[in-house]
Amino acid sequence: MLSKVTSCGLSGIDGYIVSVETDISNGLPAFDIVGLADIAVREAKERVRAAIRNSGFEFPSQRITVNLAPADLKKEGTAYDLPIAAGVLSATGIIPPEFFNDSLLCGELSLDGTIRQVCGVLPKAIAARDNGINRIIVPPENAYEAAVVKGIRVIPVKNLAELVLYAKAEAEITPVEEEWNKHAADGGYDKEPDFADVKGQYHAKRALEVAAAGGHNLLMIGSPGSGKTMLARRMPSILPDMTFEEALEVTKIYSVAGLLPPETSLVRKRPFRAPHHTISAVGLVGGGRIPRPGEVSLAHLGVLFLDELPEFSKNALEVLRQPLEDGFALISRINASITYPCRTTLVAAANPCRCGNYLDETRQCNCTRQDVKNYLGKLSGPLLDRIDIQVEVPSLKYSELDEQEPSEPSSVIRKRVNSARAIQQERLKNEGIYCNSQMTPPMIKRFCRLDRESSALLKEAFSKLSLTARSYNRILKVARTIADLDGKPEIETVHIAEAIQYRALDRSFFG
Amino acid sequence: MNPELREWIWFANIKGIITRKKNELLELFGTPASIYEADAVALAKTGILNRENIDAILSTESRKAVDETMEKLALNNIDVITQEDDAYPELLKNIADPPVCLYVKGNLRRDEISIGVVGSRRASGYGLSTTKKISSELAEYGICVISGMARGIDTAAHQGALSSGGRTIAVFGCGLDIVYPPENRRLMERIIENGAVVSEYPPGTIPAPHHFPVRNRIVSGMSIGVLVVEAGEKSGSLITAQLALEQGRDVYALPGNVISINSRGTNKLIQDGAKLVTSVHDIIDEIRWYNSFKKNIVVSLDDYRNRKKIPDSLDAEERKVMEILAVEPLQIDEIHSRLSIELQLLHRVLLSLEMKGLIKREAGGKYMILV
Repeated sequence: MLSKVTSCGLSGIDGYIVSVETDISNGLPAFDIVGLADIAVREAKERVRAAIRNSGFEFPSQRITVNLAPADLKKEGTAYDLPIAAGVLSATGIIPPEFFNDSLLCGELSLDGTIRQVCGVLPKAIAARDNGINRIIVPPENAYEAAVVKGIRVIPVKNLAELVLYAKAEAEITPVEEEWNKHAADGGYDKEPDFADVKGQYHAKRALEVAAAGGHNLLMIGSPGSGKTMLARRMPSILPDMTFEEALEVTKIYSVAGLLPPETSLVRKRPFRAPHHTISAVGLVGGGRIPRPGEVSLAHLGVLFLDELPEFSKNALEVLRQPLEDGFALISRINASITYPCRTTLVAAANPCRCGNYLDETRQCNCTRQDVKNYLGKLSGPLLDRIDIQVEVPSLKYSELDEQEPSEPSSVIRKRVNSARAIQQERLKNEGIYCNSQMTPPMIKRFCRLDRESSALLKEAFSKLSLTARSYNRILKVARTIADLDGKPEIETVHIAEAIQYRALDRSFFG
Repeated sequence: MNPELREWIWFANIKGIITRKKNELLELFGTPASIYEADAVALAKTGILNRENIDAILSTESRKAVDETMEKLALNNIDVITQEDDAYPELLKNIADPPVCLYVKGNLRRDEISIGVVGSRRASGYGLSTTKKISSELAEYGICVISGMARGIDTAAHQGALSSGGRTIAVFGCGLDIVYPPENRRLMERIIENGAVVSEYPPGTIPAPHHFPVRNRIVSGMSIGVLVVEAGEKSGSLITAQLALEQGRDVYALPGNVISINSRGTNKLIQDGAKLVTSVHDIIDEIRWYNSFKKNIVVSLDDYRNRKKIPDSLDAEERKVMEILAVEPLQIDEIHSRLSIELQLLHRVLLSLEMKGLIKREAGGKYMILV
C-alpha cells in the first residue's frame, strides 16, 4: 500500500512543502528512508517503530520505504517523525488516506508515542497557508506560534493515539485560536534594567535614545568602569514597540533557531543579543554544517551588543560588514544558499586602548601612542563606516555618583522613541524600510533636506572640524532622527549641531 | 671648512673616553691634530688618561673609522660644527662638558634665544595641547623651541613651534641618519627646514637608553631655560631639570592636576622652587632681562596680550560656557549639569565656539579653551 502525507522543510527562515511517501510491500522486513535525509531523520525509523508499537498499533513486518520528496533537497531535524509514523499508519490502513489531503503534519515522536516540540513551526504554518493547505497538525507546545497565521486551522495533538482517533473522526480536537499578542514571549519592558539607575552620563544616554529612535549603529568609547556596559544593557528598555510584521519576522528566526519558548506565539519584544567577544565568525553571522542563524540574525530588528569590540577576532569583525550593510546574511552551500535577515542595530563598546586608561587622568596608561592608535585602528575603515553615532563615555566622579536627583526613567524615554519611530514609519511606509538608519542615499536626498542656515552650518563644520566625507550622510541621517525626536518636520541647525557631536572618532579622536 | 675637521671627528668619536676628559685633553694639547700626533708617553704624562683610554686613542681602528664617518656625513648632508667654529652655540660652550663636535642638519644660530621644552612620552591631552599652545606662542615671540623629538610632549613642542612659523631645534640621542621615533619622519623634515636637528652622535649610532640623559644636557645647555610640562615622579624630564639647574639655567614647570600621575614630577619641581608657568608670559617676564640687551625678541608683550581675548561678539550662553571652561577643561555632561543648559542648545553653543576657534574638543570629549 502507498500513502502520501504532507510535511514541511526549512530553508533559511522559509518553509517548503515536503511530501512524505510511504510504500509497504511484501519482502524481507526492512525500513528505509530515502530523499537526502540526515542522521536525525534516518534515526526517525527507530522512534517511529517504538512509538507506533507503544501506542497500541501493530508495526508491519514488511518492507517499508519512505521517500521525502523533493528528493534532492537535504532534510534535517526530527520534525519528520510524525509524518513518517502517520504515513506508515495510513499505508497499513489505520488512518484513512483522505485525512491527509488537506493537512500538514510536523512533530517529533517520543518512544511512547508522545508528540514533542519542534523548531520552525511558524514558517511551516505560513508555507502551509501559502500552499492552500488549511489544517496543520502540530505539537501542543508549538500551537500558539502556528496560530498566529490566519486562515489555517491549528490542531494541537498530544500523542499518536490521539492523532489516530482524530483522523478517524472518533474524537474532536478544538483548533487553537490566538489573539496575536495573548501568548507573546514578552516578559514586559518593566522587567528590564532601567535608565533611572544611571547617574549622570546625559550625553551618552541621549546618544542611546537617538540610536534607539532611528535604529542607528552606535559605538561607545570609554575607560573600564565608566558604565558603557551598564548603559548598553538598558538599551532594550527604550527600544520602540514592534509592529506585527516586525514581530512575525523576528519570531520566524527564533522559531527556526529553536529559541522560541514553549507555548508562546510571537516574540513581541525587540531582541537584545550580547555575544561574548570569543565568538567565531560563523557564530556571529550564521552558518555551520546544519545552517543556523547567527547572533546578528537573532538580533534582527533589535540590538546586537558587542562589548569590547576591538577584542573580537579580526575575522569576526570583517565578516560582520556585509550583513550590517545589506540587512541579510547569505550562507552559500554547494547545493543551496540560504539567507537570514539581520537588520539589526549594532551597539558596541570599546576601551580607548588595551589597558583602558588612556583617557583616565588618575590611572597610568601603559600603552605607547602607537599602541593606542593600533587598538582602535583595528576597527577603522569599513566597519566604522557603518557606525552612525560615536560617543565618549567619561568616567563618573564620586560627586556625580552621589547625586540624589533621580534620573529620567526608561518609560519616559521610550515614549519619545516610540513617537519618533511612528513619524519615521509614516514617512517611510512606501519605501519598504522601518527607520531612518536604513535610508539609502537617494532617500536621504529626499527626506533630509536642509534649509539654507543648516546647510551653511554643516558646510562650515566640515571645513573647520576636519570631518571626513564618509560622515556626511551619517550626520544627515542622525540629524533627521533628532528632528523626529523633536517632532520637527524640517532639520534645523540644533539638530545638525547635535549630530556632529556624535562623530567622536571622525574628529581625529587621537590626533 | 675646518682644515682639521678629520681630526676633530676622529677625536669626538673615540669611544670609552668621557666628554669631560676629552675637553681637558683639548685644553692641554690645543687641537685634536696634536692629540692625533701624540705618542703614548705624551698622553700618559697628562695624568688624565688611564691605560684603556690611551689604547683607545692610539688604536688604528678609530683612525680608520673616520673616513667611513666622513663618507656617511657627506651622503646624508650632515654638517659638523666643532667647538672652534663660530656656529657652535654660545650657551652650550659654557656648560661643564660641552660636546666636542655637533652633527647638524639644518641651520643653527650661534646666539639664538632658546627655551627647552621637555616632558613625558605618555602625556595627557592637557599636557599635549598646553605644550602646543605655549610652544607656538614662544615661537611667535621669536624664541626657538628646543626639544628631543621623542613621542608625546617633545613632538607637541616641535609641532607647536612649527605651527606658528617659528624656529625649533631637535636634539637626537642617535645618529642623524636615523629617524627615531620613526613616525616622526615628516616632522623631522619640517624641523630641518625651520631650524635644525642636532646630535652629538655620529651617523649610524642607534638610539640607546643611556644616550638620552646625555642628550638632555644638550637640550638644557643650548637653552636659557627649560620648561617641564608633564613628568612622572621618576622620569627623564626631571633629570633634564636637574641638569638645567646644574648648568645654571632657569627651570619652569607647568602645574597639573594633583591626582594626575603625569603631573607629580612637575608639581614636585614647583614645590622645590621651579617657576610655575601658566602661560607664555610667565616665561617671557622671566627672560626680560635677557631681552634688555639682546634685541631679537620681536613682539612686544602688550601687543601680544591685546591680540587674544574673549571676543565681545559672543551671546550669553557662549560667554557662560567660555567662562566655565576658563576654569578647567570639562566634558559636555559636566557643562550641562553645572550650567543647567539644555543638552541640545549646548551642542549648538559648543559647535559654534569650536568653529570660531575659541575652544577645542580633545580626546575623551573634553572641551578646552584656546585663548
